[in-house]
Amino acid sequence: MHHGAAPAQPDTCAVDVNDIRFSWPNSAFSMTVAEFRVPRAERLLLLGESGGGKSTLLSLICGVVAPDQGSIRVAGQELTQLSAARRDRLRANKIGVIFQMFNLLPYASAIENILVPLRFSPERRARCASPRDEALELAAALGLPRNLVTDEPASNLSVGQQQRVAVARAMIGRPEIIVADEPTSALDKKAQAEFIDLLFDQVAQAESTLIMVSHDERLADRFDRSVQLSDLAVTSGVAAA
Amino acid sequence: MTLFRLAFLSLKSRGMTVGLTILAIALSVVLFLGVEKLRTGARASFTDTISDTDLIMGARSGSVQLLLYSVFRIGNATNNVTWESFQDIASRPEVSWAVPISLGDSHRQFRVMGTTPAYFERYRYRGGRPLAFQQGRVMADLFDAVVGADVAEQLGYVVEDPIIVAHGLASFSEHEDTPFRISGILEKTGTPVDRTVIVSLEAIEAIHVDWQSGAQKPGAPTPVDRLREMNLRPKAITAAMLGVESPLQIFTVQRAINEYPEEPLLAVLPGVALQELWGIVGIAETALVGVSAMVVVTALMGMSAMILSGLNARRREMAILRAMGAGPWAVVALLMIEAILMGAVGAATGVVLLYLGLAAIQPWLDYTYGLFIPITALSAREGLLLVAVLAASALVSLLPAVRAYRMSLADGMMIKM
Repeated sequence: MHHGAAPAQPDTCAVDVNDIRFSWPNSAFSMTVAEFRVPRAERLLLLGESGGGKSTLLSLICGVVAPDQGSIRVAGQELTQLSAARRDRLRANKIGVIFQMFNLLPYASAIENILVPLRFSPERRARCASPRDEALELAAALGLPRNLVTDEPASNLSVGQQQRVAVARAMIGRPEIIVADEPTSALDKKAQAEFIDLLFDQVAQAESTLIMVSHDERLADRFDRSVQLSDLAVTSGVAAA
Repeated sequence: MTLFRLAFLSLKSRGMTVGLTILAIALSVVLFLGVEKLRTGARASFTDTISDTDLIMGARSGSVQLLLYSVFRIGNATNNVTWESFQDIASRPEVSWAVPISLGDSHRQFRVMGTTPAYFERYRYRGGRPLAFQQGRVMADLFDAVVGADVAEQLGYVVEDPIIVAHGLASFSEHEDTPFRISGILEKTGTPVDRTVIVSLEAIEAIHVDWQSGAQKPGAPTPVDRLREMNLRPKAITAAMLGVESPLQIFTVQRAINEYPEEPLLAVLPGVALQELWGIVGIAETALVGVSAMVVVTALMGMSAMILSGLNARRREMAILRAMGAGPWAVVALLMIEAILMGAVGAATGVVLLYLGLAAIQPWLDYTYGLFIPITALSAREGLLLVAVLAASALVSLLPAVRAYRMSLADGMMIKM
């Protein structure tokens, strides 16, 4: 690999996107992004309605798909130079992902869900001296009752509890970047505020970068910075998702 | 949290469907291994029936037919061998021993066989085991009979019981005037001997003194005392077991018998005749194995269809795994592990059911068909069949796995539902 080939910027940017163009195969939807930088340890709110290409942007940042042209650096690594398998590995090692809802494998317990990323990331596993204890600590810090975490299948948890388990799972092994896609939209207002508090606590402790997508502008003042997706990306056609 | 554990938990959460799929595989494995056990058991049972006999001699017919009627008491001889011819062959220098047998009479549903006391020394089964008595001894008197273990058990005989021998098979005309006495009961052998009543050759002659062409001569029957004084040298026998001095001479003797000028005779090597029999039975066996293999394939296809139909509902599960950093190959591996797990549990359940079933039907098979299926560990071949089931499980899971691979490439970590 060309680790030293291009001047890396590991200390300034968690995500650095330049002049990318992407279109989904078999779809009319395409997107271009001229420049998108997320400094390390920043808490960024990405505002946008669904259909505006946020899923596409997140897929690109997470390395699930590769742009047709341009450059994406994530945690100092140029994604466009990596194979799909190496991008998967990079995602496992560097990024914790939280979805809108139904984050968990319903048949596994919460603690087993929390431990899944370590299966795919040797780097994050190496940061956990005792994975099970760390998972329990995280769950406790997120206010989840212990017996619920160890004894119940995830499908028995409330939506709010499931979202907190998802935070614990994203945070285990302290990845550099947390990507959260509308994580509060299924929660009521009080739970939303609590959730954001807990998420910020964890992100601050791990010194991770947070990229959170939402359509709710009222959340903006809690973040370091907020960006309108429409200012960032130019799209044409209808997004597949 | 390994993929294996993920697969296990995922399967567990779909207990009902997975359970039925596993049951289908288990039953197909029972059928497959059961056919295999019966097949090899039947072969072993046949092969174990005679050993240490170099040649079997009889009237000229087919070698399989000769083997079947002389050793297995299946079917009847087309013709007899005259006593003179037998004497001629038996006195050849290469022949170390010769035991004549005479068949054709029956006692209830069991065959009666006339022979000489040498039979009890020379007849060997299951790799050289001699016959043994559980009660009594070899017949000493003209009207003594030795019965096999099944005869004694099914008819409730003990030593000294009188029995009546009927002429011909399943005949109504019984030799009522010549009652026999049981002098001995043999140990169970698992061979047709268990179902045989053994008397001396002279006894066979004696009971036919008053008979001609299958019907009783008119007039008063010959009294038993008169019979004892008569010359009861047999005129003919059905077949003979021969031992040869040196294995090298087996073919010499065989040729001599086959080319015997006085009478058309046939000599067969029991092992060769058995091989010929397997050649005939082999087609049916192959068909049976083929059909049961198809049943296994059907069960595995069912499993593949079950995994395939569940894929859409599991897109979210796969997207979650992809988001956690799993590559599409991990999704493929997960599905294959699931299939192999189901195949393995199905195969293991099948083996357990097989042995339970064998233990249950073993006495019935033995009693009804004289077929003793020993309960033994799985043979290398049967183990290989189980491995093949696992390999086939992996193979049929490729179809849903490839589909899942495509899906997870298309979906990425975004869930489109």
